[in-house]
Amino acid sequence: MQRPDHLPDFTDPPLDEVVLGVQFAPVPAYASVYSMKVWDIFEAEFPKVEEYPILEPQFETFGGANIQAGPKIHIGAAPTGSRLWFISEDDNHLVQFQPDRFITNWRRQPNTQSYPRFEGLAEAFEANVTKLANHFASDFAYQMDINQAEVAYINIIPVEKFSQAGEWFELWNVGAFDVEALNTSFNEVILGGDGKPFARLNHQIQSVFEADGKQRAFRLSLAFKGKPSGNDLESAMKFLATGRDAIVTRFGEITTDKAQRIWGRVE
Amino acid sequence: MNAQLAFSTAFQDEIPNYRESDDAVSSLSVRRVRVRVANTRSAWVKELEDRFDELTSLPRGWDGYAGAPVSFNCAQFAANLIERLCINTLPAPQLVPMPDGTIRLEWHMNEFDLEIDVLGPYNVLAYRADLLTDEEEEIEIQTDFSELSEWVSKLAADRNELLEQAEG
Repeated sequence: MQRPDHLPDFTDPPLDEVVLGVQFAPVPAYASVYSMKVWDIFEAEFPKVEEYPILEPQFETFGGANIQAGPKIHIGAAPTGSRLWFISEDDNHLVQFQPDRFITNWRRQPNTQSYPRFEGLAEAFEANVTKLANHFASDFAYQMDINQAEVAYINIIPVEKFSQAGEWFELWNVGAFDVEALNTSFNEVILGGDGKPFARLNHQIQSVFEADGKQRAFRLSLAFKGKPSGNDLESAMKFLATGRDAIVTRFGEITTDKAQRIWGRVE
Repeated sequence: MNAQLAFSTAFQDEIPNYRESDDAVSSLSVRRVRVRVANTRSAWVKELEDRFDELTSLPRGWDGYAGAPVSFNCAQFAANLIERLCINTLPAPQLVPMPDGTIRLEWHMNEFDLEIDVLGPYNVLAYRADLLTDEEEEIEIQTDFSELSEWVSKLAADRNELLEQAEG
């Protein structure tokens, strides 16, 4: 996979985390006791394990009412099972597994490991999903049926004051106000070549503090989610590439020229 | 910036019906303090939740043959569908289990029969019969519920004129 030439490129972007993930129909007859076999597949590269609450299924659908304003229906008791994190020794890489999801995260850490670029992450992601799919096929006679994919880029932009938002984002200019805190999010529906919606690009900008309450920063998250054109891994990888394209292009559109010069935009 | 340090948001949102961010896949913990203002829940939401729970808990062979309980995946997607189609002035749909573990949503009102088969995530078949005009339609839906939403809104539409013509 080669990086598309048309995408903005930076020598030192404020990128802090990249997430790639797929959701698939739950593996029939899977129980948490089998998770040890899943870890066996990834242990050599991800020797550390943590456990977190399971994520509920997500479906990007379109049309109809404003789903945020309407009632939320909850089904059944809290889902059983857990979401396992398999973590690399250097903490830069992480795999998240639950019976209907597989997610990988690259995180910037205080070490010398450089960002492996989307191409490197996508290649590793595809290889790891293939390993998992092969395990499901051999042990459960289950063909992975992917129904959702997502890619997210999370950036951390240190600032002195939150009033400086206009110096970093093209979206607004709040320089005249002494901004104490800022939180905004919006979604854009993405249309395919046939004019039909197939994904959402979610934008979130939040003012954040370091744990010691001193250093201020903006957290800019761009997440692309939806249903790939097919239920196979190849379709999911194409969807993720499309998502990366949309995210990086949008990053270039909503950040200021001044900010991009600081991040080393490659002309 | 040391990515290992946890961040706290500087914003406390007190928005009714605030929908929690889907950003739970990020490994960077952003602790949020959120006051959730409870919305007055529609009576039919509780009714549907009870019915969904019942259908996903059906015993195998519930129909006297090999009927399977409604799969959790189907139920989740059906719930998502209802949330998107919801109109406050409409009653809740009937939820009907299918022997293969799928689920059907039905409305029979305003001289319409509307049946929506949720065969799985992003796999929906909808059928509508207009009892006043004898017209029937069927559509397959994956992600875009716009047309189906129009069908549902017609359930609440004023059809008195058509009804009078039919009776006349």
